[in-house]
Amino acid sequence: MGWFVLMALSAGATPPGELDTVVRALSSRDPVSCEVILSLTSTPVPTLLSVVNEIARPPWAPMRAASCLVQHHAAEIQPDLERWVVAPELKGLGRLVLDSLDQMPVEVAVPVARKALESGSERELALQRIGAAQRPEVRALATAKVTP
Amino acid sequence: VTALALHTLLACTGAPSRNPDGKDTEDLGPGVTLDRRSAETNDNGRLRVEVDVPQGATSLQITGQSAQYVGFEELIAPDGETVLYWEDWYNSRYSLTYAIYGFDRVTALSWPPRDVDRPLEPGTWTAWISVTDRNFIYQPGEAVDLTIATKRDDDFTEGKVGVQIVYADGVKRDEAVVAAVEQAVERWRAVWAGIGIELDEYYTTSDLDAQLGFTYVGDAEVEDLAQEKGEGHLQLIVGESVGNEEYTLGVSAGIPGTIDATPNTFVVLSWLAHAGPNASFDDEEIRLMGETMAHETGHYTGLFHPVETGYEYWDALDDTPDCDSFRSCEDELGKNLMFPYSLCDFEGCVAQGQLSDQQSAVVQQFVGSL
Repeated sequence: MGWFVLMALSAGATPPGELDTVVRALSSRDPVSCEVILSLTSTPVPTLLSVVNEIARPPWAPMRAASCLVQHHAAEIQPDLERWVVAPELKGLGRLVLDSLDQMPVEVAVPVARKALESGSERELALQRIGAAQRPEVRALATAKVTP
Repeated sequence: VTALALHTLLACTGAPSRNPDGKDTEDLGPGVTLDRRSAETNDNGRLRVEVDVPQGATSLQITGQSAQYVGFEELIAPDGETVLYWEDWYNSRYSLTYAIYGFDRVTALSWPPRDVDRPLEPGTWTAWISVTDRNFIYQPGEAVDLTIATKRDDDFTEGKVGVQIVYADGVKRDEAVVAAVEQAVERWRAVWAGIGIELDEYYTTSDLDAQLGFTYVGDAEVEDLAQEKGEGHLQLIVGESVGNEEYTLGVSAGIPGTIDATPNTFVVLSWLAHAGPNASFDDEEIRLMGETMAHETGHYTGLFHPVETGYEYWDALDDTPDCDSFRSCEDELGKNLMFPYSLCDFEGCVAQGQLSDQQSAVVQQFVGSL
């Protein structure tokens, strides 16, 4: 498929065959673990970020790539996480991040949650989901926000 | 050995007749008939279940539910022929049913699973069920709830499948999502119409958390919801994500799944995974979501992927090719509904709605296809 060839050109650092395999795995209709996805590439962060930023179809491919980045490489993509919770055209990624705050290091989760509360694209939803976080440091942000 | 020989008296209609094994039964009326009972495993952790199949019955599904893990080891026809034995399939590269593995606390076995298998016939069929713990150690004295479902279907080329579609908490309030789900159902309807199956869906709402965290373990609330569906119907639950995983599109609780109301009576679907990074649907994403609905419920009726990713494992059907590379598999099976992944490029995604004759027969023979 043309998709795989074009992606190979744009992702640069990733060997073309490896990228094809990653995109094919991300396109699966049934569950695929991040461990499997990550095992398919020697350059997980740039490869998966390329998928998030450049692949539109199937829609779950960029979502899966983002989910694996959030779970396993959150510190390396913190600026992207803060952008995803703010950009109105990326509300899907923003929801994904808000639902994953307990899975990322607390030193990443707190500033990302703060960003979502201050200037997020879905601030009411952010307040609700940050308030439901398991980590007290994250949850405290929501409490502070609603305390007069 | 305290094997329990259970006698099934199915709710029957029609005139009595004599089965080949000499027992009197009555002709089974049209539709699905359910019989429920409880039993215990013997000293070896196994349970013998005898099912008197009446005249006219064309499909059978036995569901076992336990606090431990339920598997089916053997199914024996009235004349003594073993038609299914777990070791014949356990390490096979060809998948026929998940029922033999003992993965879950709720497990269903359908017979016949394919149109090439020995047809159901009147008489006493015998199933051997195992109950094990998570380390596959047999569990004696374990209680098992059993449901025997039979259907009479004189024409497998057409049928109707009832589906209760359940919105998880809050999903119904998002009008764009509801509209996308309803349009996606039309794609699902079109796919199944191609094999003579009419979709009869109806909607309800629930308090289930929209992250659908129960997906891999089941939930009592799912069973409560399933009690409200029509007998023999399926249940599709739509949430924001599946199993708290943003990367999972949908999951079938079994291959096949049970038509009885249990904690594991579900196909689940994530709307957000289909809407993508912008959380907004376009027409192609709606089509893809409809194909996921048809794909996952296809699993529920007993369909496997014709080839698994890795290209070394296949379904047990004769008319889906045993391709062995991504190139040959995409060429030969890329438009198949049960192909394991979506094929897309910058111009869009390949429509995946085709089913082979034998795949169609699996869906049509499923006990919930009436």
